[in-house]
Amino acid sequence: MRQLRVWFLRMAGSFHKESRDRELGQEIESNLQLHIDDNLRAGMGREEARRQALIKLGGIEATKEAYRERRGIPLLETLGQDLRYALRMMVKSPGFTVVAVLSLALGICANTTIFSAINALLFRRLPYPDSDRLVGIWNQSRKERGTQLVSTGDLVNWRKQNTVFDQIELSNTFEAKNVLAGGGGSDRVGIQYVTPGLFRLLGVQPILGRLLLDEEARPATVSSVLLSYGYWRRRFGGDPHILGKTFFMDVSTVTVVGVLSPGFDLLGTGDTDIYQPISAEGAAAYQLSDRWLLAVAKLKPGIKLEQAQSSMDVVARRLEQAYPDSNKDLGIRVMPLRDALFGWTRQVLYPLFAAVAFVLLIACANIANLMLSRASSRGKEVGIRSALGASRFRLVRQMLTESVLLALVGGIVGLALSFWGIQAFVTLAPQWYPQAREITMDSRVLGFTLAISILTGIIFGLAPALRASQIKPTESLKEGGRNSSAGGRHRARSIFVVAEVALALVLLVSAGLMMNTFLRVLHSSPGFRSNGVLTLEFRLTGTKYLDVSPMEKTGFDIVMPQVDIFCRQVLERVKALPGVESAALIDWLPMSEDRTDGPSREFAIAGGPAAVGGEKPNAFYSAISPDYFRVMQIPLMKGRYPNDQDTYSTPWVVVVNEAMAHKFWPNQDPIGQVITLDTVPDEERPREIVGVVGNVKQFVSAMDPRPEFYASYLQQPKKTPSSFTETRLHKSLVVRTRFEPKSLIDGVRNAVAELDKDSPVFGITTVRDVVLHSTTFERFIMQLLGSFAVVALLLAAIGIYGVISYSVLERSHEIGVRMALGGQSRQVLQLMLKEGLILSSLGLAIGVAGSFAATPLIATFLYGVKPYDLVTWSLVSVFLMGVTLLATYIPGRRATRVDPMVALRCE
Amino acid sequence: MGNKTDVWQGTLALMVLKTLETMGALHGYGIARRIEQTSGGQLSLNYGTVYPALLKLEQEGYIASEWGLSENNRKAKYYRLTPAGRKQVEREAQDWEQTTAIMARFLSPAKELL
Repeated sequence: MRQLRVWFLRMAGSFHKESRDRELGQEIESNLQLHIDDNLRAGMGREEARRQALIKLGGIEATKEAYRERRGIPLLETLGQDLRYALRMMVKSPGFTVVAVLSLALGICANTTIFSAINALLFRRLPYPDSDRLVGIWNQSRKERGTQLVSTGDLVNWRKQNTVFDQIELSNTFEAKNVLAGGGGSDRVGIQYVTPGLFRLLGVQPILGRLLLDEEARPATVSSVLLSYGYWRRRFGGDPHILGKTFFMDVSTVTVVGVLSPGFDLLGTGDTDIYQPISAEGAAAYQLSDRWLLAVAKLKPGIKLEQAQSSMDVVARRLEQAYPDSNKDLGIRVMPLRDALFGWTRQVLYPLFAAVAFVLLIACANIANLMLSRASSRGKEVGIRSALGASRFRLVRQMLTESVLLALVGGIVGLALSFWGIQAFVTLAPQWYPQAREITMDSRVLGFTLAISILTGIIFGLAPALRASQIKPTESLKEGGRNSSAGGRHRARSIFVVAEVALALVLLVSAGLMMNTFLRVLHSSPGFRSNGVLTLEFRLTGTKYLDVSPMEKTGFDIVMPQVDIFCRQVLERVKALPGVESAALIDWLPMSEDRTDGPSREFAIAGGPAAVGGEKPNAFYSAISPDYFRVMQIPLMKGRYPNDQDTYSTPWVVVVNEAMAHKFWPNQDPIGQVITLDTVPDEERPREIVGVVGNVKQFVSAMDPRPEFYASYLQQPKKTPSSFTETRLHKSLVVRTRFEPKSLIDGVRNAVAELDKDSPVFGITTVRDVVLHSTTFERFIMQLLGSFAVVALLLAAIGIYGVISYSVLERSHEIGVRMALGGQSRQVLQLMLKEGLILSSLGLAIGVAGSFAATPLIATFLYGVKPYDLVTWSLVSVFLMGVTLLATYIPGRRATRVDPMVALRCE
Repeated sequence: MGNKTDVWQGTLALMVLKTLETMGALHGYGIARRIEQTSGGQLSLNYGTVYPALLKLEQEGYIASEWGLSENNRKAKYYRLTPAGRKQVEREAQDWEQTTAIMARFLSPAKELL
C-alpha cells in the first residue's frame, strides 16, 4: 500500500515541475543561509562562510538533480520530453505529418473494419448464459472432409449414450419457408424448427406467454408455435392478445403460445418469424438417415471440449456397429457453438484480413521511407545529441516515441474513419451475411486498434531509428560533410520500395482475379434472356390444395387437382393482360434464393446403367408450364418443347438440358430414351425424352450449369413425399412483357392475388434483378478487395515516387558533373528510369512469388478463372509496372533539368 | 576527510527519523548538522544528500513538512514525524538492534563460548 502511495506521488511529481523546482530552490537557499549564519557566528569571513557552506552541501545543482530523480519517475519524464519534442516535430513538418497520418489512417481503418467483422462473428461471446459451455455437434464422414447435418434419430441415440452433455437440442440450420394464413391475410414466413428444450438450453425467455413444452413436440391436431419478436411487431403490431389465436400452416392448425424476447436470433439471419416444435422420439431407420438439423448442446460443468470429443468418438463407433445402414463411416464432431454457427465465415473474412494487413504493411513501408529521407536532414540534430552524451538506446527511444506518436494519431483518425468503414461493410454485405448489424466497436476492437497502431509505429519507426542512431557525430557535424551512411540509407529505402511493390502486386492480383470472376459472372449468359421478364412467386395454401391425411399411413401427401386448376387460371388471366406477350410457371425460378428441396431427383434409365459416376443417376428437376422455354427464350437444341397436348392422360414426357444429355448419353441420341423418376414409385410413369434444351444456371450465376430435366406441371403424380410438398405448392410465374416489365407489376400481382386471398403472392421483381441479386457475394468481395488494392497501388506509387525524387536530389551533384561533361538529358532520364525499373522489377518478381502463395486463399470465390490465370496476372503486372514507371518518370524528368552550374556550386 | 566514515545507504533514513523523534520539528540543515553532532564527528555527511532522503520519507508518509520561521527569523522548511513515522522509527530501530546483535556474535564469538 505504502509503495503504491509512493508511486502515485512520484507520478504526480512528474507534473508541475516548475513550481516544485522553485520550492526546492528556496528550501536549499534558506538552509544554506542558516548554515552561513552559523559559520559567521563561528567567526568566519563572509566569503569563507559561504564557500564552506557550499562545500558541505555538495553542490547546489547536483543536489537538485538527485532530488529531482527521487521526486518523479525519470523514464516517465523523458517520455514526456520525447512526446513534447515529437509533437513539435509533427507540427513543424505538416506535409509529412498529413501524408503519414492519412496513409496510416486508411490502413488502420481497413484493419479495424475487417477486425470488427471478425470480432462480431468469431470472437465475441454468444449472448447466452454459460456460452463457453455451448457446443454444436455435427456428423462427420470419415471419408470426406466437411461436416454433415444431424437427424432426429441421431439425437435420440446421442441423448441415450453420451455422458458429457447436460442437454442436447436440435434446430434447422436455415429457415424453412411456409405460409401462415388466417386472421385476415396470409404471409410468407420463415420457420425455425426446434426441439422445445432449445430455448431452455439457451436461456431464452418469452416476453409474452410461455415457451414450448416437451409434449408439444408430439404430433397433435393443433400444434403450438412461438412468434419471433420482430414478426409479432411487424405482422400483429405487437398485439398483446395474440396468445391462443389460431392460424393455418398448409393444412395444419397452429396456435400461438408465446412471443420470444427481442434479439434472439440463433442462426444470425434475422429471418425467423415462427418457431415450430419438432419431435425427437424413436430411432427408426428413416428418422436416422433424414439428416437436416444442427445439434446444440451444453457441456456438463467441468467437461472440456476435448473430453467431450473423445467421449463422442466412442459413441460414434458404437452407433456405427449398431446401425450400419445409416451410420457407416460416420464420426461425430463437437465444436464450440460459435464455430458451428459462424465458423464458415472464416474463409471469407480471413483472406480479407490478410488483404488489409498488406495495405497496412505497405503504408508502414511508405512512412519508413519518408522517415529515412527525413533522417538525413536530421543528421545534424542526432549528431549533436550523441555528442552531448545521449546513448544509442536513448536516441532510438526518442525516434520510436516520434513514430509511435505518429501511428497513434493515425490510429485515432483511422478509428474515426472505421465508423464509416463498418457502415460501408454492412451496406455492401450480401443479405444473407449473418448478424451484419452486430458489427460494432467494442473494447476488443478498440484494444486491437490501439495494439496495431503501436505495432505499426514500431514497425515503420524501427529501421529509421536504428539507422539514424548509427550516425557518427564527427561526420554529421562536419560542415557540408557528405553523409557516408547515405548509401546504406538508400539501400534500406530501396528494400522498402521493393517490398511495397511486391505487396501491392499480391493485392492487385487477388483483386484482379475477383474482378475477372465478377465480369465473367456478369457477362456470362445464364442460359436465358432475363431482359423484359417480370416474375413473382405464389404459394398455394389450405385444404383445397393439399391433403395430408394419408401421410401417417403412406408417408405421402396428396396434391389436390385444384393446384393445376389454379395454375391454369393464373396463366389464362395473366396472358390476357395488355402488354403481356406470354407467361409461364416453374417450381422455382433459377438463381432465386429460396429453393428449399434437395438439389436433385434420382431416376432410373430404361436399359441404362444403375449407377453413373459411382452414384444413382440424378439431376435437377423442374415442373414447368409448356411456354416456359419460350418466355425465358431458352433455345431448343433438338426434338421439341413440351406442349399443351402433353397432359396427365397422354404419355409422360420430359426434356433434358445439354449438360444432362452429355452426362448420361455421351455418345447417343438422348431423344427417345426413357427414364423413370424414383420419387413416387407406384405412380410415376416412364417418361420419354422428347427434346434437348440449352443449359440454364440453376443457382448462383457463377456456377456451371448442372444436368437438369423438365416436365409439364400437368404430368405430375398426385402423391408427393412431404419433403417435396413445398415445391409442389410453390410456383414462380414468369411473364414476358412488351414494355418495361416493372410497369406491369400491379396488374400481374392483382391478377394472381384475386384468385385466392389466402395464398400469398410475393417476390415480385424483374428476372434481371434476380440475376443481378444472385451476384451480391462476388460483388461484395470484389468491391472490398478492389478498394484495398487501389489504396495499395496508390501507396506503392507514392513510395516509388518518393524514393526516386530523393535519389534525384541526392545525385544532383553526380548528374551535374555528367551534364557538365556533355551528358545528354536523355541519358540522365534513362539513368533514373533504370533505377525505378530495377526496383519495380524486383518487387514484381517477389510479388509474383507471393501471389502464388496467396491466391489459393481466395480460390473458393473464383468461378471460371483459375487462381493462376495468366491473363489477369500479366495485365496486373503490366499495369503496376506502368504505374511505377510513371512514378519514376515524373521525378526523373526533374533530374534532366538540373543546372550543372548550380549543382556543382552546391559543394 | 581522514578516518571519518561516509553514511551508508539505507541508514540515513533511520538517522533522520530518530533525529526528528528526539528533536521535534527541524529543517534540513538542522537535521544534517544534528546527525553529524550525534555521531560525535565520526560521520561525514554532504548536507545535500538529506534532501532526497527527506523527500523519500515524505513520499512514504513517515514525515510531513511545512514552511516556518527559524530562531533567527529565516524562512525554512520544517519536517516533523507523522504517527506512521513514529511507528516506523520503533520498527526500524528494533530491526537494527537485532542486526547489530547478530553481527556482534559473529564478530566476537569467542566471548559467547567462554
